[in-house]
Amino acid sequence: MYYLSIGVLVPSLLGLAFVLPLLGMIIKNIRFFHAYASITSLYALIVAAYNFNIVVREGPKAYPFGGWWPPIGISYEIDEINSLIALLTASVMFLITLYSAWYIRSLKDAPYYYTLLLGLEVGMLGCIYTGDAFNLFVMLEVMSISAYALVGFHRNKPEAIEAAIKYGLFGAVATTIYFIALVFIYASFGTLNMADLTNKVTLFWGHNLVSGLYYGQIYAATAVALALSLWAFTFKSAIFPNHFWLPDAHPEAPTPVSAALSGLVVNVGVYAIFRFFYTIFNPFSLMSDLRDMILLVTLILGLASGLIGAFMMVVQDDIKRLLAYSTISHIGLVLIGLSIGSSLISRPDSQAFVDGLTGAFYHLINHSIGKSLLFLASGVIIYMAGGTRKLDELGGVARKNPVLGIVLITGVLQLLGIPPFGGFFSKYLLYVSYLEAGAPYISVIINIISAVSLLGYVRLLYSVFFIIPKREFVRTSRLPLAVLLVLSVACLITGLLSPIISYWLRGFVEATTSKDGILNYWVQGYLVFWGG
Amino acid sequence: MVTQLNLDPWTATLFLSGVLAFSSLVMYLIYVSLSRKTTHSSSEYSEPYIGGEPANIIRSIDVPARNLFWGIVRGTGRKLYVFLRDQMHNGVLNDWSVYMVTYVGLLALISIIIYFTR
Amino acid sequence: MNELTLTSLGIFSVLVFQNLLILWIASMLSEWWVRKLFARTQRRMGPSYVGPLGILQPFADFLKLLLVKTEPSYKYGSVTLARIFGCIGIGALTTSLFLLPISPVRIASDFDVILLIYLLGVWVAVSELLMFTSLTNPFAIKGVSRYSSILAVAEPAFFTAVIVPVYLTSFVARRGPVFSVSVAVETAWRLWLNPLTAIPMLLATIAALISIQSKLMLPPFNIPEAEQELIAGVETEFSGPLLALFNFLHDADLYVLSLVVTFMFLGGPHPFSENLVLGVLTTILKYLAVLTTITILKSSFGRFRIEQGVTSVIKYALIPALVALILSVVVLSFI
Repeated sequence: MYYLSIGVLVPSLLGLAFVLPLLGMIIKNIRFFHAYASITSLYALIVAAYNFNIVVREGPKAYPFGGWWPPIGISYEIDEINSLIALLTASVMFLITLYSAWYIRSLKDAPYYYTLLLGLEVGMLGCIYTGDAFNLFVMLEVMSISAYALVGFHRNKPEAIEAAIKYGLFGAVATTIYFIALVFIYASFGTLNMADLTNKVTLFWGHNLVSGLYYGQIYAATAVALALSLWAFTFKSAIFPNHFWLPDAHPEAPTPVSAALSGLVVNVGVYAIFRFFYTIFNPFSLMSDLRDMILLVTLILGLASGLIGAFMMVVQDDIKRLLAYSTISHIGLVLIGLSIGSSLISRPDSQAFVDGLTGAFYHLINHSIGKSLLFLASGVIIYMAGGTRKLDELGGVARKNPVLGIVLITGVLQLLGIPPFGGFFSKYLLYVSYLEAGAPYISVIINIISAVSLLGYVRLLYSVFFIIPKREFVRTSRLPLAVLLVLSVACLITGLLSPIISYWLRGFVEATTSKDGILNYWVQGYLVFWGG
Repeated sequence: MVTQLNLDPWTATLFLSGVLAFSSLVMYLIYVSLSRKTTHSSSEYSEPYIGGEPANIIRSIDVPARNLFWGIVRGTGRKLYVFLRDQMHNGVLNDWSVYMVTYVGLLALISIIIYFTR
Repeated sequence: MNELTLTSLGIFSVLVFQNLLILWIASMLSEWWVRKLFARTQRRMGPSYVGPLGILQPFADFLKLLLVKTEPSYKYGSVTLARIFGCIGIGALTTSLFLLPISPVRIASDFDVILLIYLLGVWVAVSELLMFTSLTNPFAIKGVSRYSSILAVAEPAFFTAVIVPVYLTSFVARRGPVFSVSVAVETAWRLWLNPLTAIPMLLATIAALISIQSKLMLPPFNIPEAEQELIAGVETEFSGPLLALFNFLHDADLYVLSLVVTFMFLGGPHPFSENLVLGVLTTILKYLAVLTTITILKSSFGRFRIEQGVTSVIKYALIPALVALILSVVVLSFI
């Protein structure tokens, strides 16, 4: 028995998104589109919450599309981690959609904007839910193409077009490289289903009637495939040295889209890295030495992008660009946590392993909330200051609006990681995991990243909040401020409920990355359909 | 003589955050109740102090945000920033692709090395 | 259960008052010690009128500023914000006393060293920065710029230095809570007895002292850079009660940071930890030694330009601390 809600979310959302341009030909009232998009993303949120509830009650579940059983047809499989990230994505996207109603209130292109925004959500949810490596490629493309178009949405601005072209060029290269990786995987394993791949790599049950076992030089092919797919995933999550597109693309996009790109889209790459190197090529697999090396590479890249993001934040004159570099830095931190699983650093059953992964996902959640908060706040700030993004010209906007000031400080404290905000607890787990693993110097580098990024945040707060305003600013409406308040309450909640959240997350990580969990992923994603 | 409460990290952090909020509040109340209520209202005191000169001798009393950290950006970290900002993040596609292609090459090299040394 | 919670909350609110009082008295006394010693190195008398040897002078200064002087009003700044952030800074320092053995009821947990650093380093630093920024003045902003530039390197240096004894003791002591301040306080002295661990400890102590010096903006790290000498950096606009608040915050920061060095590096009351009187005396002596070292450093260097300051923190605090940490990892792998 399988749940329809797992499979139905992405296609139905896609349908709802792409019917919008047609509706745009008939209906001219822009309010309809605001309501339509908000209701659609609320629907996505409800279904994602329902799916999360399924996993919490019953464990991983899969949905085979069209009744074709897993290795043959496409299947979506949810487990604790991906249903949680999908829930996070859907809830932040819901708030972003609400905020968009304020942001594009006077834009003629509302149907197209919402089509692309919902398309972005479809792509993200598809990437997260999918249990099929090829479908991941398809959904990456859905997500990326929406993202390219959204980056260039203000198409009368040359910078936006340039950023979109740069992003698009390299993004196409990245997805193609992932496609080549898939060619290697398919040629050597004869399957693209993640559960089936997991079995073949780990050999829970060697014999396979449908897709055979191995073909050719699997070790060499896997090495190449892992290297190439890591390149593509680090591109999507903007890890050094594949981060160059981000500081161009994120500031040029419309502000709600920047929030979605910076807060959520980068998570997809991180999630894909997790799925590939903890579930498919898991620590118990036959080729775990390949995975260990790859995770060592991601550790170094995570440290590098954390440092580079922090250092570049210090010299930005543009508020959105500053936040974009902060994203690079924070995703670096997440990747540092995610790299703990290399057996050169910690054993898979150790405390450090679980702490590091818990910290990584906790930081992912905190960063998503804090960064979308700051980006959405920057939208209000830019509007109030009359369209300028230069920090020097913002001149104390937040002084004029106390709610905005409080929200801004909350977001900064969340990202700085100060107790009792959520950011502290996730950074704490990252520190702790590397201290436990006997690598305290990595904790020190995490501290250096935090200390240097403090300068960037001081710069932001100084020019937005501490300068005494000397000119009049535009007044803003209540809707964006309400969205910002919800997000800043979420920042506080992720901190105050941290005992519960970290307990749950720890349980999720243990359930997903233990040997039993990986076995269960295969059983639920493959074996149950064949009467196992 | 010293009682030690052993808590788990989460409780300790949240508890101490509560203590932080409470003690800040206490300090604030002490400060407000003790300090003199009256404030100078003459314009001499409300102007910023710029070495005894009137405030209008400088163009703006705010320091532009881009000059905030010149000690790091143009002082200690000058070489680092010349590299990071002017050479690495220069916005030229060709220069980016050098890093990106090097990274692919590095990954390929690593996989080849692993393949032949296992 | 409910009554118990209420009672313990009552106890803790009393403890907050007590710690605040301890913080105030001890920081004023530390200020007296530093001022007296610093004056003597410059052949001045130092505080000498109020109380024996002028020991009550800082108290008198503080109370006069707070009670007699009036709070200024600013055209270009918010006194309320400055007040709030100053009080949060003092609150953070009061709270961090709960992690040190100076408080009658102490809180310990696994990895509470990170909590100590975030309270003592990050909360205090951030609230100080925001306090300074609240009163806009070109000189004050230059001071903020300098302070935050120094912090960006001094914080990691302090973190690394504090991690060293905690890291070593959590393996030497072999008991919980792991990576805890409380275990480090009780067993740090044993590290000085073994030459293998004494070397990283020595390096870490030096690094901690220098990073404290720079975090507190004491000379040689204190003057804003300019063609002409600038007025006083961050505290340009502070006067009256706000200046009292700032001075208290600064002295309390000095007190708590020196206390961390006294307990976590020098072992606190050891070797007389059984005897109450001798133990307290030893602790005070060690504390005064730390203060004296800081004062000697303060009086014996010329002022650095900002880039010299940052470079010297990297050279003499961050790198020694990192070396100490790597050495302690290496040493532990042998033991």
